[in-house]
Amino acid sequence: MNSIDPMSFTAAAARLLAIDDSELIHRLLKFRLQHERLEIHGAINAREGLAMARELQPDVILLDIDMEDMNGFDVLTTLKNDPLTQDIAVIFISGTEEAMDKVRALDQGAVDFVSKPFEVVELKARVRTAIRSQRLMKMLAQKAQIDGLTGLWNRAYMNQRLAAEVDEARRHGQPLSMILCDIDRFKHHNDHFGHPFGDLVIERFAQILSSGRSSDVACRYGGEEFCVLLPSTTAVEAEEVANRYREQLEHITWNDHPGLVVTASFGVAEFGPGRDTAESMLKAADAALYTAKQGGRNRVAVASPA
Amino acid sequence: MPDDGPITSEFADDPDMAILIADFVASLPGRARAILDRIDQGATEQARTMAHQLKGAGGGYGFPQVTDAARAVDLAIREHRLDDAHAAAQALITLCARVAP
Repeated sequence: MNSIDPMSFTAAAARLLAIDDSELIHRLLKFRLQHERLEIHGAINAREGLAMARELQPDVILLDIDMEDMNGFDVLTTLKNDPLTQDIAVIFISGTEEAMDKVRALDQGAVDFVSKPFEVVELKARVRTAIRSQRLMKMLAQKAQIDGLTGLWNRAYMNQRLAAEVDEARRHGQPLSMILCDIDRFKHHNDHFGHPFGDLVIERFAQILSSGRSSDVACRYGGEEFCVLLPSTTAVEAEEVANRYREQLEHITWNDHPGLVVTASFGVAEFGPGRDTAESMLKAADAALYTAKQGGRNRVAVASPA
Repeated sequence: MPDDGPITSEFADDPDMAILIADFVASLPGRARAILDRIDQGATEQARTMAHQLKGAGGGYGFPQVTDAARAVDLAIREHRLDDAHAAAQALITLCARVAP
């Protein structure tokens, strides 16, 4: 669910958005780039282009400078100020011959500049290079957010994603739940059976958490503590999910330690009144987890409405 | 080639480009005429945008001469030399009449 698949960065056709107010250029680009592994979209003015960039999340944008409704520099600034579009590679493609325009474009964050009329082989090479660089950057950024032992998202990513999911839940009135979980007596297992076994327990538990629904986001919160975000999910549904995780861990047979039962405790909290921020949701889930631990471990506790 | 002979695309040998070029060529006289009309009507910014677009596209369809002629119109309007812009647009019309698929 969370692991990086390098193939996803190379096998899939890249998405290209051309923003240019000349239909002659759109026809030419579509024709000239038709044999590249590209999914090509076009916007005939700047405002349409900005909307399409947000919606399509293209890998690369070919952007004209001289458009009637907004010039390309302002479009680039808008793209770079929007978290949804700021990482899209932008190549200016323009008939301007001013060196300062090229400098300004690159200074503002464009990755390249192609002059019109363009040489087809040069354009193709520049598009390929921009896509390759953009995908490598994306892969590096993701790697920085992945936990090395488990392959789950790390805490930094979880904090960022939780804030985004809380915003979505607030904006669209969709349910959102969170499961905070902790492996029971982990220190004991670690001390008694050794750190390699402790690592194995963490890895197996992470596999369970990442085998859930594709929409769920499992993260290693730290040490033996994990967090799962469940968009569009009520606390009742999240409790069922947590109980499935709990049972799967409980029923693992540990080959080197026959008879050993490893368990975990779970705290569930749902977005709602009094729990409408990332912090308050975490706090409620943490309190529920504490209740589960206090109640004898190997159980799921749901935070009661605030 | 005489200066008043037909102008063909640099990509005329590319059969895949044939339809694209034919459409472009068919649209050229109307586009050039529209640029001159806008200049004469005082809609210079519209004229400049149209000339600018033709400048960007001409070479891509294999007609660098169209790019050059449209550039002259674009530049004259940018520099507020409207008589020159008018003359350049006339020259663009003459050139476009020679362009053949």
